[in-house]
Amino acid sequence: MNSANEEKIRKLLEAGLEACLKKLSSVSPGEWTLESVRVFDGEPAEAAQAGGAGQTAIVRVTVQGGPAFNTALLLARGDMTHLSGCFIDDQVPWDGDSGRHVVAMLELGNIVLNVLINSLLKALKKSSIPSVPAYLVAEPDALAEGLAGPAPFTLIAAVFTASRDGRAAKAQALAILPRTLSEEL
Amino acid sequence: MKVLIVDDNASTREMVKIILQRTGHEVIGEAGDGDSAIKAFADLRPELVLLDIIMPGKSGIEVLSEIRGLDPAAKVIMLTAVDQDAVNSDLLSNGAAAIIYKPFSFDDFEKAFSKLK
Repeated sequence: MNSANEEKIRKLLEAGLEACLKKLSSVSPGEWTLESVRVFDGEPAEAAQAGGAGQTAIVRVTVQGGPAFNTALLLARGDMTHLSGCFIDDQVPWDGDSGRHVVAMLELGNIVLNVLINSLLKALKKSSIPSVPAYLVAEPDALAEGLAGPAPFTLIAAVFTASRDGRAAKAQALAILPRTLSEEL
Repeated sequence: MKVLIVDDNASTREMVKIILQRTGHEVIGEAGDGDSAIKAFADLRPELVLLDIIMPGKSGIEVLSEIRGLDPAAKVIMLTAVDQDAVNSDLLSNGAAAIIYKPFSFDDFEKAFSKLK
């Protein structure tokens, strides 16, 4: 992708994500801030280090049935409780099981990743219903392998911060497009 | 209004329930997938369905069509993170009364409810 197209896509995604995070800040207990959006040709391994050296929690949404690409929300597993607390009010009742934080991350991923998907499909002038979000935990290397598809890739990596009660944690929303698709943008 | 909430994510169903209860509505049922939603609609005959799109099994688009097949006057508001022009057009032309986009606020529900005839 040439640099003019990279900048066009970066701005489009930045606008969508900023609007989404602003709305999240107004309706959830946390303060959500976009830190950066990068569009670059590269390998998933580069972006998969976002969760740090330890295990990374991932929410994955795929797009098929037309343009095919992967998206994933990556976060350090140790930050999940904090991010969940930023997303869902503590007062929201819960029926017992210990999956509250996972369920919260699945919905956070659904929301944030669909901002990427909506913007990319709009730029491609295409439409597709994405997959149901899936949750998994992996080491960064395994994660990079799992996200790979037919190389080479264009990656879109958006980092955001969620803050509450003096604590902050970052997460990264990632889109991995086959270069053949990104060249259509 | 008596409302059926359909969303595969339990945290979303809980948040929607709080909003509805605070605004004087009654949640008479919940479903986490398309088949359960259609059965709940047939059994409970809610005055309004709040319906997610991305769910395991049948999508909300298919569920909307089946519910409107059971009752052409059924009131359905979509609740989704999908915001694509072609999908939005399909939903509205297939009888959705409104679309609430995630993340949602109280105001979003009030605006959508004002579109119900």
